[in-house]
Amino acid sequence: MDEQKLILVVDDDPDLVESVAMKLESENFKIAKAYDGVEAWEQIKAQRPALVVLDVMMPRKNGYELCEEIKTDPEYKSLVVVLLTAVADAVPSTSYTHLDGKKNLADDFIAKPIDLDKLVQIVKENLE
Amino acid sequence: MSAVSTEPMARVKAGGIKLSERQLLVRGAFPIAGPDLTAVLIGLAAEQRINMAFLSRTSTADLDRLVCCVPDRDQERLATLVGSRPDLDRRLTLGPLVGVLSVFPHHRRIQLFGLLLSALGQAGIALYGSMSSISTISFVVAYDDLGRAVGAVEGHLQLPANAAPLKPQFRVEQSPIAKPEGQEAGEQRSAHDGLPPKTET
Repeated sequence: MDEQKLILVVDDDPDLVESVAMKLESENFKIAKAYDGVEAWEQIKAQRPALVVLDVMMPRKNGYELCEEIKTDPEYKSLVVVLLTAVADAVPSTSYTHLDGKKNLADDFIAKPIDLDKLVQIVKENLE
Repeated sequence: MSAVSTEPMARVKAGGIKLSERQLLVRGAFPIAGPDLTAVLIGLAAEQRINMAFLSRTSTADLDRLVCCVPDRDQERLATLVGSRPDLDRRLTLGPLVGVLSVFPHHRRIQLFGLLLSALGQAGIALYGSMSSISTISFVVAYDDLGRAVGAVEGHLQLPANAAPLKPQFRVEQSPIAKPEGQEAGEQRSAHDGLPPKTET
C-alpha cells in the first residue's frame, strides 16, 4: 500500500480549511492544518509535508511571504506550494504555465471559489 | 433538583479563535405565510456585494426569525436598500453594533458548544445569536464585549502555543452585480446568473 502523503492546508477561513481537508482525506491524503502564515511555517518545519495548499491573504504572514521563505530556503525549497487565491490572474509568483509562464516561486495555483475536484487533480499532478 | 457542580471545567483543545470586524446586527421576524423576505434581504445584499459574517434563520409554525450581521461600514447602504422595500423595512431592526467570535475547529463536539456557552454566560456576556458551521462555533456579542468574550472563552480552551485570535486585516471589495433587465431586486436569482468573480478574500 502507498504511503499516505502529508498535505498542509493553510487558510484563515477555518471552514475552507475543513472542506479542503475532508476532500483530500477522502482521497487518502494525510492532512495537517494551519490558519495563518506563522503557524504554517512552524508546521512545515515540524511535520515536513509533501505539499502545501496556501492561501494568499492571511494575517501575520501572507501566502506570498511564506512561499518566498519556503522556496528560498535550501532545506524546504522542494516542498510543493499550491497557492490559493480569489484573483488567479493577479498571482504574481507562479511559474506555472497556466499563467503564461509568469516568473516566480509557487508550483501551481487554484482559484477561489475552489473546485475541489480540480484541487485534487492539481495536488495529484504536483505530487507525481 | 440536582446539585450544580463547582468543579473547575477542564480546558478543551481548539485550533484557534477568529473575530469579525465591527458588524451591524440585523434582526427580523417575517410571517411564514407571506413572501420569503429573508431571501429578499439576502438577494438585495448580494446584489450590492454586502457580505454577511453571520446568518441564522429559525422557522416556527408562523414566523421566520432572521439574525444576520453586515459590516458596520455598509450600514448606510443596507438602510437604503431596506428602505426601498416597505415590507422589509417595517419588520427589520438594525443595530446594535456587534462582533462575531468563532472558535474552531469543533470536530462535532457538542461539549465544546456547551463549554463556550457556559463561559460566556459566566462572564455575563449577552448573546445575540449562535451557530455552527462545518468547522466553527460562532457567537454574536456586542462589539464592546468582544474583548471580554475572548478572555472568557480563552480561559476554557487549550490553544496552540503560537495561536493569536485571527482578526480581520483585509477588506473585501466586490463590484455590484448588474441586475438583469426586468428582474425584481432580490428575487428569482439562481446560481447561474453570471455573477462576476470576487476580487479577493
